[in-house]
Amino acid sequence: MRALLVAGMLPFVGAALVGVLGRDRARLAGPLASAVVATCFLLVCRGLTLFLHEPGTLTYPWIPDLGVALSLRADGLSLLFALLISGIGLVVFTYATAYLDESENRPRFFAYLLLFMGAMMGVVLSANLISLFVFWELTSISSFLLIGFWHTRERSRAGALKALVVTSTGGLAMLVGFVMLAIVCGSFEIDQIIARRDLLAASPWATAAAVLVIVGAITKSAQLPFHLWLPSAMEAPTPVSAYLHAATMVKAGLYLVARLGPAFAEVPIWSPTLTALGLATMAWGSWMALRQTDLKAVLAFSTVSQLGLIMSLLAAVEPQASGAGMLHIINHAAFKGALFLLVGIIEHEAHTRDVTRLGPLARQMPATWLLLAIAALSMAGVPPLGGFVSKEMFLEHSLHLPPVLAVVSVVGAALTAAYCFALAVGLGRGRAGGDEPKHAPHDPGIGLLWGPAALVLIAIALGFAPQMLAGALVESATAAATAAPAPHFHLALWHGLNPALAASAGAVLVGILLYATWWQRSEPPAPRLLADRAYDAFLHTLEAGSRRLTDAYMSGLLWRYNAVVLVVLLAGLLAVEISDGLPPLIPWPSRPPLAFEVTVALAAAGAGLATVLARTRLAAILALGASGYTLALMFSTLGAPDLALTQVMVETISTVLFLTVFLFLPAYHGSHERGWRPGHLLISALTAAAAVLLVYEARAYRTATSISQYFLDNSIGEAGGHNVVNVILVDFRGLDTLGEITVLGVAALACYAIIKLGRRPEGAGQP
Amino acid sequence: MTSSLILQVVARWVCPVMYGLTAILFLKGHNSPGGGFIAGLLAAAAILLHFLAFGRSASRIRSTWFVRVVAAGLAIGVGSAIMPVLLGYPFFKQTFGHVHLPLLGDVELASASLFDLGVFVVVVGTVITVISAMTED
Repeated sequence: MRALLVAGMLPFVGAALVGVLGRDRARLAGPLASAVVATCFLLVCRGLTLFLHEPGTLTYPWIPDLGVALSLRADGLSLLFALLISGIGLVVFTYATAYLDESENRPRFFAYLLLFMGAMMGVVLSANLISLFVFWELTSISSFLLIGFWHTRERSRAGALKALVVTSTGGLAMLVGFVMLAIVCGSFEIDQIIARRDLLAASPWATAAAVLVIVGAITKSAQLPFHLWLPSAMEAPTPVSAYLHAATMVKAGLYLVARLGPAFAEVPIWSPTLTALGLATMAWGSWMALRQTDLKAVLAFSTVSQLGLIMSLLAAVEPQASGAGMLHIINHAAFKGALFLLVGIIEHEAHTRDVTRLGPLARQMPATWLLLAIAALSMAGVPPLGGFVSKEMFLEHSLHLPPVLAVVSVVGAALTAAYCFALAVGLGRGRAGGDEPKHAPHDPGIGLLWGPAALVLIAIALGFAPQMLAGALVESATAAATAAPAPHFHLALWHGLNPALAASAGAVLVGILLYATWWQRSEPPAPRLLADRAYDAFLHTLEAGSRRLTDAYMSGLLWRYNAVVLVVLLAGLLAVEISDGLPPLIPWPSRPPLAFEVTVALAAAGAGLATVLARTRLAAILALGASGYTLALMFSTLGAPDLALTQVMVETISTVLFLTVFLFLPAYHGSHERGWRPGHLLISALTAAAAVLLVYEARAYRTATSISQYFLDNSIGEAGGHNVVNVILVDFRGLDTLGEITVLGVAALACYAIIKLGRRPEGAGQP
Repeated sequence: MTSSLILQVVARWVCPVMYGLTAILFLKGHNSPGGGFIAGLLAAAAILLHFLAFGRSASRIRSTWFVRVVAAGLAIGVGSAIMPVLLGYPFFKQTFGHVHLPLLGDVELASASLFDLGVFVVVVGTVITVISAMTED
């Protein structure tokens, strides 16, 4: 189990190491990162030999009080994905080493890629929903960084943002679903939840939880209606598209559906929704793929479509269908990974990805074209390639679905075949009327070709010996995805004459016809997605709305801001008082005030008054400082030396701060010039009264005994400190302090950014 | 920035005292009033005094540099919280022991002090970043 733990951690360590490589050592980034990935691959293979038939677990307590643990689980399902992540990773990393230009920032690229890989390993190895969620979001973030890698391009940035907005919104919905699951089943551990799935099925929250988890899965896997981010994500460098947006990250949604399928199987909404969504996405995605001219766009929509196919299989939570889904996940990773890498080569050589401008590739780059054709035909489901086997199983499954869905799936298969033939044959022959590029492209060196070649070999081998290569893994993964004993499959090319074979043959024939008649002749218009328009309109409305709102209240007048803040505070308090009613006010234990306290209080009040009445700003600042110092005096008499010290230091520094910005402030108009404003006086008086009232009420609302005594009792024994205040800060409530210093740091950064970046000459938008 | 001779003379004597006090406040913070936050504020005040007395060029204060100090402080804080996890304890687990140091007497070496150091560095960095950014150019 430790081998897998290391395999999960190593990419993060690698990312840190690679990320700090200097410019002069940037060449090392690729080989170093590839070595890390190769090590992970070997570790996963080791894990495969150990846990394929006997799942292993490993648990580290993380936040034990909340039931959150860093627990790992290795079973067929997680090992299948771990194998894909590290195996395809190895191909992609070595390919990227040869692919990236010398001038690119390689350390940054490979650090992001390793970060992604680690996050993805975390997702598939997590046995706890919270740690799964954390890694899940980390994949979204690293995907954002990688899509926007060429950050000087407008379209890259927009694509990265779109992907982040869609997937992280889905992730948050999923988190809510996870919390519901944990409340109903009493645990964040996936094993426990599956063991108590009866509780879930009986719970009124089941439907809501299922919908939220489905939203998480379909945003990540780019299913209708959240498919819009994947085509835009194609702005990423091609190795990234191959790795994240074809082979691994977009399959996280599938993984989630497979992993939680057993828990939700009894919830009525789960299977039908996912099946319908998956099949609709499959048919629609393949239709869109057929209408693109940009090769990467073809592949993007094709990925959307293929993910829909797999989604519909995994949705059933039934051994035959899940098994077909698992096999197709492996197949898809092989042929789609290869296709992306080959398209990257074509772009590299021909300097275009436009189908209408690419010449006859069969003549110009025969090796590249041959690999491309085989991979595309595997996707089309042509025997004897790997894609055929899983496609047969898919059709076998969907022919037993309600007639509408069965028709949709056969239509989807036919459209898929059509664009696959367009890729394989169309590119090989070159499009009629396409003008030849000026300099003819040719095959690249082995450095770029070996990766896709290896994947294509796998795609071929999966056709001839599916049972031998993938049988055990698919069976074990299916067992995990259905929470049942491992089934026995007979994965093979030939299943005899049956309806599925007829449907498959029909789909391929229709596909060839579609390609030969329609695609060859039409100038496929690449239409704008409806969802894209909706997204743009949404962003536009949001921006315009927030600008109007901001313009309405950001007047630039400090007193107005203060007035707004205080009035909102008062209104909120008033609302609470009205809804709850005034509690009985318990008087504080009274003792006659000491003369000293009276003096200090009077001094504080006097300083406050002086601040308001001051004629110059300097006098106002100093008077404000004085009121702070009197407060410090008060603290010191009440036995709070730490507070008093802090107050003195804060007061001193903020006075200096005031003085430093002195020069930048506009002319001072004290109250003597502007006159009294009754409204302001009223707000101030009410705020003061509300503060006093709150202090009194706080006493009435105390329901538990004070925690102070606990801290006093345990400060020395538990933390070895006599200064309880400090012990609370750094030990008992250390996490709070960590949050606070983070806020402090971010505030410093924001100040720095506003002041430093806001003063650029071209910054016309500054207030 | 104009600075007075009196302020310069005072600063020359007071700054070292303030740094010394900072060290004492920080080291003794676990058992008597003090700690990373207060010590950080005091250190920042000392730097500010030096800055006010001798001006920017002598103090060599740059906001670009202190932003990094903030980052370093946060890294120390987060690192001290994560370290126990790597050693097999829960997140943020703290422990302590005692050592004897000359002059200061019995000083406790608590693992929390490392986190406190992070707090200290962040506070110093934040204060100086904000003030130096405001006074630059």
